Amino acid sequence: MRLFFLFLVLLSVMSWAHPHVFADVTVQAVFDETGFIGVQNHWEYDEIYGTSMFAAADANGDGLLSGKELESLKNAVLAPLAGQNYYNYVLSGTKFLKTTGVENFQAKNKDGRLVLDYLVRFSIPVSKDYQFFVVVVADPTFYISVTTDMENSGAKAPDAMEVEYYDDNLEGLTLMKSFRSDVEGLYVRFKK
Amino acid sequence: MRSSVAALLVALLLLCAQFSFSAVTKKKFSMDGSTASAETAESIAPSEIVESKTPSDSVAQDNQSVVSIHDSHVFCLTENFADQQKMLRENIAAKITAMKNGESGVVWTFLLICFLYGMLHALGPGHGKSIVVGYFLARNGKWKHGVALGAGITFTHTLSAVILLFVLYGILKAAVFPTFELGRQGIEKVSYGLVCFTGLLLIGIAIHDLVKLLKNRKTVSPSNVVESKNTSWKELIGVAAVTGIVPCPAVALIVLFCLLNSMVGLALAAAAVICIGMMLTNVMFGIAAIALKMGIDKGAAKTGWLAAYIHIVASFAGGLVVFLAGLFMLS
Repeated sequence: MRLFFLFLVLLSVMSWAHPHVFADVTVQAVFDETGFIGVQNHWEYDEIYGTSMFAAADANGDGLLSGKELESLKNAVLAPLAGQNYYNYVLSGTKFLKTTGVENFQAKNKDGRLVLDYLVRFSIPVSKDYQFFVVVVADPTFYISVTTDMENSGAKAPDAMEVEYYDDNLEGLTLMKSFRSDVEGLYVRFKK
Repeated sequence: MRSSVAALLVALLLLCAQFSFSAVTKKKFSMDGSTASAETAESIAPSEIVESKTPSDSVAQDNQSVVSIHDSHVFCLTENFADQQKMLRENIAAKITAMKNGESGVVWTFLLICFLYGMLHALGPGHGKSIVVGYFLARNGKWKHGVALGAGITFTHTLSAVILLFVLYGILKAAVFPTFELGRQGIEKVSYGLVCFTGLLLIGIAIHDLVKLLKNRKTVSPSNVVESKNTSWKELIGVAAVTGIVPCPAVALIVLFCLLNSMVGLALAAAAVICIGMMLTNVMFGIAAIALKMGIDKGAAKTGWLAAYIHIVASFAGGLVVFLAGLFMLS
């Protein structure tokens, strides 16, 4: 019986590892004079998935995406993720912030890989005291295996703002326990 | 002269732009102090990762038990699986590109990589392993049944992907994948719903057997209860169809990548070899499930009348595993 339960536990843990799409991602917490305004996403998809999505959007087959083609790609890739905050999780205090949308969507083909750049909008107004938040960009369902390049991730802010950040794992963040242990977050604090 | 002034202005502007972002520093900070009073056990979480020994460390230690699974070796193993799959997928893409460029000699390496990819990929959910285990806990089967169910689910899972992709490719050409995903998600919901239903059916049979046994304790022999739960080929085909009908996106993506490179034959060969790889994993689970059930049977046989009850409990547990597997995937 002990063997049986061991088998079932192993089975359920194995069930976590099931990626179909792979993406290398960098993120930037973006600020303006009013405070934190969003997360700049840079996604490079694996060649097999990226080629499929690019080919689907590139209606005239010229290898470039513009106008309606770009909109079509945005709908195909990002629209299904709107309910999941586009996989951008910003934990401020005990709450996850809800995005107000995506801006500046751009796409290109880089050596066969689909590259997407866009800003996922959030809002935390600046104050005189430090405010803290943690940014995680990952797919908790693991359909997309996201590898975030934390070395090249960071923050962008105007001179009037004091922003500090570092990257680390999510150990100890009980609200983030649905993420895998290799997922890292960007810890940010800022004030006027 | 004018151009050098312009260049100087541009350089100054760039310098200003750089300075305008200079307020950002990469620095590990503590969240103690001014904001400490506003934090709760959940919200202080960022301070828990600060290495300094502060009073908040005690809270961090309390919380460590909640997330301790993150540190387990099993998790490291699954992360490794993902990395391996990523590497294999990159290799598959590279080999297809090489063959397109005339390097036909890499075809065997390509097929070997596809096989390994299939084996690893089938360790994820949606490939029917928990259903195979649950089903053979609930129903009696022989080795050939374990092999057949594992193989049948994988074959259906691959075939449905290839058929759906080819049909949609015939209609939509290169624009196929977003539509394939929509179709897959629809089929997925129906399939997982049917898996839940199969689990409930197995639970219902177990309860029915229990009621029957309790009512006719004197007339029903334990062997009758055990034999009544023997599987049939008809049942196996049904379970394989219900579980495997969800098209495998991993197969579909590789097939489509071949089609986009005008390699129809290679697309079919890749699908077949990935299928064999996945089959091997699923068949191993099928055999393990049969071995598990045989072990239970062997132990139960020594208990005389209790054997019937043990079989009913195993059936109930098997049905529950199938139901929960369906529910987990549905949610």
